[in-house]
This record gives sequence, structure tokens and C-alpha cells, in this order.
Amino acid sequence: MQLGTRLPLSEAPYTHNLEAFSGHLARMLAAREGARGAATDPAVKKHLERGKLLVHDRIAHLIDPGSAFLDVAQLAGTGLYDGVRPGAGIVTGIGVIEGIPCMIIANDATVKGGTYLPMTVKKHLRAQQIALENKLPCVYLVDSGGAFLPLQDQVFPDREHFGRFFFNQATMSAAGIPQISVVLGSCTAGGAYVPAMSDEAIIVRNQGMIFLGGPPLVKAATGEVVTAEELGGGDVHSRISGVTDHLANSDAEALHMARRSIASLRGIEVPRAQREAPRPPRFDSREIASLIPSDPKQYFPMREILARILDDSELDEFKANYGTTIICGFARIDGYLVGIVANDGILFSESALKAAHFIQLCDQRNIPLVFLQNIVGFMVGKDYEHKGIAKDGAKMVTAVACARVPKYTVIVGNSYGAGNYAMCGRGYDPRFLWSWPQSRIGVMGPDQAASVVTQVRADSAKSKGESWSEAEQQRYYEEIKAQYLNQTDAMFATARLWDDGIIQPSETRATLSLALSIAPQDPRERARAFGTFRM
Amino acid sequence: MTSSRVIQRVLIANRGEIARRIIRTCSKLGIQTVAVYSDVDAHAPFVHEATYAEAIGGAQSYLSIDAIIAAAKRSGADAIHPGYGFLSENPDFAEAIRAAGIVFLGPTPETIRSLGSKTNSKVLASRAQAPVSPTLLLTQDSLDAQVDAIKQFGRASGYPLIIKAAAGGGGRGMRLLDADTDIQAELSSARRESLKAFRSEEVFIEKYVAPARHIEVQIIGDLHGNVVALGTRDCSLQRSNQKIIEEAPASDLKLGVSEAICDAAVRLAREANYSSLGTVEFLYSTEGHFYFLEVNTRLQVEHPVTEMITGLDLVELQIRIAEGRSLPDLGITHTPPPRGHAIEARLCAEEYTGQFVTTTGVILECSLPVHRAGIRTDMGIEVCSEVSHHYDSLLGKIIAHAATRSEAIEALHQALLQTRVAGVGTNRALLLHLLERKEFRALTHSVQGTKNLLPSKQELQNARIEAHAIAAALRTQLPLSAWVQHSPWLYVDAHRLTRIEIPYATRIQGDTIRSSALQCNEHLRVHVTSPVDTVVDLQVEYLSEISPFHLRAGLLIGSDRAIEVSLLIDGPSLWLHLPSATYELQELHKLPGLVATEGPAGGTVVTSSIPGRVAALQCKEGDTVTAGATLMVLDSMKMEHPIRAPSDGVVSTLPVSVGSVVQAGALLVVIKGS
Repeated sequence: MQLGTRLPLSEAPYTHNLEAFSGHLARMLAAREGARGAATDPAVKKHLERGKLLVHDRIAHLIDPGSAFLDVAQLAGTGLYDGVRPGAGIVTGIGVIEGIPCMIIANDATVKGGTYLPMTVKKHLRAQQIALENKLPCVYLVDSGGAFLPLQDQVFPDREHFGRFFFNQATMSAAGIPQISVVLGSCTAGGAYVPAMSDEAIIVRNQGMIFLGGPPLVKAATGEVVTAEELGGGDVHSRISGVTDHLANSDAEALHMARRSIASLRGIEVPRAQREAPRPPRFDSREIASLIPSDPKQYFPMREILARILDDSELDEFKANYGTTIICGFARIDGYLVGIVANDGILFSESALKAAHFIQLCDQRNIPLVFLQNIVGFMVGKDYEHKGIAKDGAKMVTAVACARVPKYTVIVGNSYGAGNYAMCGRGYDPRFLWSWPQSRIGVMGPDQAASVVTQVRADSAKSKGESWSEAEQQRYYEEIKAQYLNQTDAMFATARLWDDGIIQPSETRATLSLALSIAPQDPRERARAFGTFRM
Repeated sequence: MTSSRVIQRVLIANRGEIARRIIRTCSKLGIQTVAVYSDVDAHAPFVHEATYAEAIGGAQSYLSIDAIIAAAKRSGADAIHPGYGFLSENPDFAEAIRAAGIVFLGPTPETIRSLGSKTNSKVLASRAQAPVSPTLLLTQDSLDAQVDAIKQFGRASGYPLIIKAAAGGGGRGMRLLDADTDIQAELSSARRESLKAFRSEEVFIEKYVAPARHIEVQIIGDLHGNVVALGTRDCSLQRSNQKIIEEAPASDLKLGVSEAICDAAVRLAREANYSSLGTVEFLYSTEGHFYFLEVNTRLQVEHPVTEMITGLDLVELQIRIAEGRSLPDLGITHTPPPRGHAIEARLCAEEYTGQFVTTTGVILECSLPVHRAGIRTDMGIEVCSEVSHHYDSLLGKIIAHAATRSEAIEALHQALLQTRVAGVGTNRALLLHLLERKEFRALTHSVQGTKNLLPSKQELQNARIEAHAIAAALRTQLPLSAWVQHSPWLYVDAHRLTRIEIPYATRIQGDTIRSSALQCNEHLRVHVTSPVDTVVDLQVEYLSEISPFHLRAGLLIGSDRAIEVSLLIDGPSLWLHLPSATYELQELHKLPGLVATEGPAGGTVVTSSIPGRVAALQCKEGDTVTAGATLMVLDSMKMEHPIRAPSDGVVSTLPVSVGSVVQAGALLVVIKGS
């Protein structure tokens, strides 16, 4: 069925919508630009003076000229640490090398010496997770001082901390996912294990450095006086220790060697998603920015948005007349067949049942699922509880959790409460999860949260017999609302890696297409099994 | 006199385009053909096209009289066509053929011998009252005495002088003397080259007529004493005495010169009892005088231009005359009036990059404008043919025929724009460039002035940079694997959340070009950073796939220049056909290793631009040399190439010795600043 209508975008309310959206977009684009070190930054200058390439240029030299690069958690850490640019000192993303899609994990030595802050660790692990799920060879461009020592408690001890990097390298290598390191700078202490745990390691002479303890530590421990190059330079490791396998004279040469190494993986290329000839949507995806209501209480035209993302604006809708607050159907995105699950209102029992059914269909047919989230939650109230909306919602959550096909989530509007679970939130292991710049995520919306919390506090005060003035209540309400506005903001979310990045509505189709393209062909390794559907 | 006979089976003692061309005529006449081929040519097109084929041995066996006579006997050939080059003007060959009772499709051994010596042919020319320029024959005196004699001759008749091999042709053994310096070295070098090419050291000195046009007369004689001139040709576009572009008839000669020059040629031929096809060459000075140069006693490379304006098949005439037919019998009694104008371009395996560099390789693509009216293509190659350094670099010829000279030039230009040869670098760009020169169109060019018509280094570099930028734009769309080809990872506007510039480096004709590109709205901005800093804006308008390795594209360069290109992907090489040139671009990111660009610290590195053999060494390690001094002489494609010092300094490394075989790009010598 053909979706979409021509809309008078040069008129209200679309013009207001665009204006409101542009504010959110501008913040995000400013952060993106800020992720690249300015030429005036002293750390950047020093890096360049040493003859090293900046991290983005290293990636550009590594990937095939002109191929796409899909950033992962591009704006992680934004605003969390003093003097740290968006990105948390590491660039992770997928690029194509010699025709093979690879996960690239690259330290940015111009940010705190490339050391690992809590969000740096989380981002590194997230990138490895994506590599594992999509069977992507990993290329580590190492230039890091190791753990950020002042915050060692938040980067070292726990399961999902520094040590997990090497666990992942070992288990991925065992699973046949190649691990390749290029040592372009220091690689100290725990960091030394990145190349050491790799299948193949390349190092740059007089620049790359690998040691468990640096010269100051060695002197303190044993009294031995040694230069860094003597201790663990490229020559030492390529000639004496054998920690590295190839010795390069420059960044460019080392990256070229990494390309040669990846080229040798041709024989173990993973069969990936099948694609048909793509057809563009019948409507320009740039129009979406004008369709997102400036007032969150206004209707969010999901079908119009789908019309601007799907191939030929076409959706083969499933149960079109049943449970109409959720849209399910088969469609193609840039040539890839997907099952669409998109909110078109609040979730009712029927909507949840329909979605649970549809998700099982996709799982049976090996069709990846794309969730477009704009959900404030399930319907509440006596009638609905009596009819068992909780068990119907549980059926949908069970279906989402147990589906074996790749799942991709885009938070296009709100993502509140149990709706987040049913619509494949972060906890449900979507292969990727992206947010739109104006989207919000939280246990509930700011207004609702402020009302609920104020109401609870007022009730408590009342039961204790305390007086709580109207003005104080109002101030408290505003305080809570402000907190929620801040914490449900997409920039707040992306800084903490609750998603894999913020993307523009107009970038959604291409981003989904890249992600869909790398999915291994048959991901249904385990037998089809769903948890008990409570009937 | 010889009685009439019928030739039934012709052995062709040659290869390449001329062998194919002779086979064509024989097929037309119902005559069987025998190809002889060397090991190198076992799969060449002419071998398959002949009725029979005989292997004769190694690469040099086209020069083996015994092998060829044996092949003729084995195959039962009753005639041998020598083509051009190789043994075509070797009187011993003609004699051996006669002794074997086989017909030689050329003049008698006696005629070849008497005309083959340039010194003797000059005597004949004088006797026939053809104008001859002042000449000095060298005596058997000491080298010093010879040098003195040359200096004296130079003072008397004026420089420049030219040293020529008495037995020579095709520019081999020729040296120009502008003044009385360096005479001894040039003399020795000419003798070496002559000995190698013609097995004779004999050279002589002639006053050099310059500036001059090269005008030649096609003559034909029969076994009954008739000789007729078939018209003139102009072959003035030459480089180092190798013809590049030839035309017929010679245009814009002073009144009566055309007839006078034809008459002189016929008189000379009669004097030499000429009884076959041949060419008498002259230089035509700007003052309108012509001077006899030499006689070529064979079919010429450029014979098709005469064929196109006369409607004659010269190979057929060679056969008919050898069968004993007389010229009147064949309908040839006088010089036929030219029908329109014909022009030929020699497509060669060499590139002009500021110098001429011969190329070798396997032909990946060979697409010719065969269906254009008035266009004839005589090619020796096909797809998959190997072009080796063993033989002459001529790949084939493209000939255009039209009513007027300017129309013929235009037709040839159009045909060359549509010629697509990839796998081996060619001189197509140079041919187009020369055809566009106004001096050539206005007939103010000369043999000596051709070098001034060559493109400048700046023009060559600009063209390379543009080719690089086009490749950079197309590269963004070229798949490196089957998977990428059907994935969304390669778009013109490759999707990137982060602004990342696209670095790209290629090597074109030895020049490394580096750039970084950024997508700016619709177009790609390619910022070239090396060897010069410049910006090229391009837009890929369409890209269509002929195969995964062969693409056709339309681009907009700048804001208004639309061009169509095609691209062939061959490992790390891209063969890019622009309308006006074809380039091989080596993509550095696909090469197995980065190649160092600097030489040993502080030294100037001299590398060989061609594969070849070191013929003479004129320096040793530790020698102090001055810029321009000859350091050694390389022998390649049968030509001597002097290697000169690029700067003043001391020879610090010399890894080669006389006899060393070097590949293109090999280190020859390192000069350190003194």
C-alpha cells in the first residue's frame, strides 16, 4: 500500500515544526563538529608536529576511498568530563576496508592522551558487541595511555570494564572474527594487551610503544633505567620480543599494511544480507523535519514519516484494521526487506497482540525488524487492567525479547515506560539503536513525572499533617519537570551511550540501510523458541 | 625476361600489423599464406589469420635467414614477402631466397645492395640528376683524423651536420652535430648503433637540411623496365627520425615541385634498374629546394595513404609484378592524379611524458573506430595480445581518407578520439595533440620543428592531475568486492556522520599525485596537494556498468565542462580513457607496498624509464660529473638512449655494468652533490 500525501510544508503548523526541530538539530550538529579537534587545540598541534595523523584522517586512510563510515556512539561523553570533546576520546564505527566491512576502534590521543574514561570504556565495549553480533573483523588503532587513573574505580574493576576488552578479543578470535591492531602511539599497561591479544599486530617505528610498565614505573620497581623506545618501541617488538608482526615507518604505511592484512580475509568473508534494487521513497526524507510536531501533545504523523523512509513509500501492512495504534507491515529500506513495527498512538491490548503476532512472523521468515518508537506507554485504567493489558503487553515483550532476527530501533519521538520494552528498547539487544535529535527517553514524560511526584509528595505531606503551600508545590513541580526535561533529552541519553548515536530524520534511511547491509545472512543460529506467552 | 607464373603460397617474413595486412591482400587474391612466428608471437593474431604457420624460434628469429628459408621450404611457399624492417632490405636474404628457387617480393639483391648503401645511392642519385646535399665520406684513417675531417667539412658547408649509417634507415645510427664539440662520442655511438642494427659500422656525414619537410615518392617498377611514380607523401612529423604522422599527397609544394620530385625519383629508379615497389625520400627545404635522402627498397609503413588516394593495392601490385605482369598490363602508365587526401597516424606503445617512454604489457581493451566512413585501421594487436620489448613499438595505424586535407585531418582526429586501447600505454594523446596544432594544419611544421610542437611539461602535468581528480571522483563509486557492489556503502555522497576527507593517491606516468576530497552538496571537491596545490570540482552525472570491471561515466568538471570517460579496473591499475588521452593510474592504496619516493639521503637518483640493456658506460663510481654529461647508454627497442647526469655531483652508486639488463624504474646511478 502506498503511503504519504503531499503536504503544504510552507504553511503552519509545518513551519513552526521545522523551527522547533531546527533548534534540537543545531545542538546536535554543533556537537558533531565539536567531536573533531580544532586546529588551534594545543594537543592537536603537538600530535601533528610529531608527524602523526589525526584519528579521523587515520580512519580515512584505512577505509576504502569514498566509502561510508558509520559512527557508533559518536557523541558519547558529551558534557560529562571537563576538557573532553564529544566522543570521549575514542572513535568507533564501521568502515569498509578492501571491500570488507570492519569495526574500527580508534583512540584519539589528543583527548586526555587517549586514556579511557568511563564512557570511553563503554563505547569500546559497545563497538566490540556490535562487531560480535555482526561478525565484523575488528581493527584497533591504538594510541592510548590506558585507564584514566583518577577514575579507576569506574573503568577497571567491574564486569563491563577494561578487562572485558581482552575477553572479547579472545572470544571473538575464537569465533573466527579477526582482530587486528595497529600501534600508532603508546599502548601502556593493560593497553599493551590490545596488540598482544590481536591476531596480527602492526607497529610504527619510533612512535608505537608497547609495555606493561613504562620507564618511570620500571625505575621505581627495579631501578633499571631505560628509554621508552628501548623498552618497547617498534623495533624491539618486531625484532626482539615478537609482540608485533609488522614494522611500519609512518602512520600511512602502517594503515596501508592493515589494509593488506584485511585483504587476506577474502576467504572467510561472511555472507551478508540480500538486497534488491533500491527504490527511493516518493517523498523527500528532508520533509520529515517539518512533520515532527513542535508540541509533543500534537498528533505524530507516523505514516507520513514512513512514506519518507520506505522504498517507493510502500508498506505491505499486516492487520491494517486491527489494533490500529501500532503499524506492522513488510517494506523495503534501500532494497533490504524488513518488518516495520511503528507506533501510531498508545498501546492497547489489540495493538500488543498484533505486534506479538507480527514479530513471530518475521522471526519465522528471517526478516529483520525495524522498530520506530514514539510511545508514551500502554493504556491505563480499570477497563484495560481488567481485560489483562499487562499480560498482552507481556506477550509483545516476550516476542521482542525472543525473536532471533536482527532488530533495529529508532527512537523517533518519545520512549516512555513499558512502551520502551515492548518497542525493543536498549534492554532488548537491538543490533543498533538510534535517536532523533528531539526525541525523549525516560520512565515517563516530564509533565507526567512532575505531576506524579508532586502528587505523591503532597499526599505524603497531607497524611503527616504537614502543610505544603500551593506556591511551594508549584516550585517543586517545576523543579521535577526541569530535572526530567534534562534527563530525558536525547543529548543526555547519547552522552551516556543509551543509544548508538543521534541521527537526523533525513539520515535515517541511509543509516538503517548501512546497518541492515552488514547483518550476516542467517542469524537464526539458535532454535526458534519463545518464552511462555501468558494467555 | 622472366616468363609469367602464378604465385600460390606466400610466406610472410614479418609480424604484427604488416603481416596481417599482407594476409588480407593474399586472401582477397585467393593466395595461401604462411606466417612465421617467434616463440613470443605464438598467440599473435597474424599467426591465426594465415593459412599456415611455422614456428621459427626465439624472439630474434625474424632476422634468421636460414630459419625463414627452411620454413618456406617446409611449407612449400613459392614466394616470400619481407614486409618492412627485419630482413626486408637485406640483399643476402633476397639472394638466399633466389638461390632457394623462391620468388622474393621485392627488388633484386643487386638493386637492394646498390641502393642499400646510402653512400652508393647518393652516387646513383647524382648520376640521375637528383639533387643531393653536401656529403663527407669517411676514410679509414684514425679516429682523430676523421674527427678533424668532420670539423673541416662542418666549417666549409656549415653546421648542423648529420652522421648517418651507410646501411641505415629508421633513424638508427643517426646523430646530429650542432657544432664541432662531442663529435668523437657521437661518432662512436652512431657506429655502435649501426653495427648492432645493420651489421655495418660504416657511417658518413651530410650537411643537414633544416628546417625541411620530409617528402617521399612512391615508385613502382616492373620486370620489363617500366618505372612509374605513384605520387608523393609528406612525413614531416617525426620524432628522432621516426615518423609519427604521414599523409598523401604532399600538399602546398611550390609550383612544379611535385612533378619534378616524382621525375627525379623515377630517373633514379631507372638508374638502379628498379623492378618492384619502393620509396625515394627527399628533404624539401623552406626555400623550395629538394634534396635526395635515400631509397627504401620495400613496402613502407605509411603505404596505406598512397593506396587510399590512388585506389591501388600496393601489396597486390608487388605480387603481380613478381608474377611477371607489366605495369601497362596492370593499367599503370603514369602517375595517377590523387583522389582526395589521406592521412595516417602510427599508434605506438609509447607515452610522451616530457620524454618518450616505451611501454609493454598485455592489451586489455582494443576498441577501434572501424565503422567510420573513410577510416582504415591496420592493427597488429587484439585484446590479450602481449606487447613486449623485443620488437618495434608500432601497435598499428589509423588512416583517414577525405576530399580535402583539413577534412582528412578532422576525420583522423575524430577516429583517434574514439580509439580505446588499454593495458599498454600509447601515444594516442600525442597524436591528437599534434593533429590539433595550428602549425601542422597550416603546413608550417618541419621535421626538425616537430619537437617544438610537443606538449609542454605543464600541459602534461595538468592533464595528469585532471585524470587523477576524475579517478578520485569515480573511485568513490568503485566496488572493491562483490559485496560492496550490492551494498549501500559506496555512494557519491557516501554516508558519514562525521566529516571525513577522502585521501587518494595515484601514480600516473611516474608522477605521484595526492589529494583529499570532500563532498560539497552535489559536487566533489578534490583538493590536490602534491605535486602542486590545486582544486578540481567534479560531479559524477552518471555511471553505467559494462561489467564489474568496466565502467562508463559522465562527469561535469568545474561547472560547465561535460566529458564522457570509461574505466577499466585491472588489479591496482585503473585504465582511464578520457576523450583526448588514456592513462594508467596505479592506486597507491591497492599496491602491495608503499614505494619510497626519496632516494638515498642527499642523492639524486637516476632510474631507467624503459626496460633495456646497458650498452656503454661512460662513468664509474667516484667520478665527478656535470649536469648533462652522458653517463651511460641504454639499448632498448633497438634504439640507443643516452642517460645524462641530471645535476652536477659525484657518482656515488653505480649498480649496473655494461651488459646489465634493467627493467623500467630500475636504479641506474646515484649522483651526490659535490
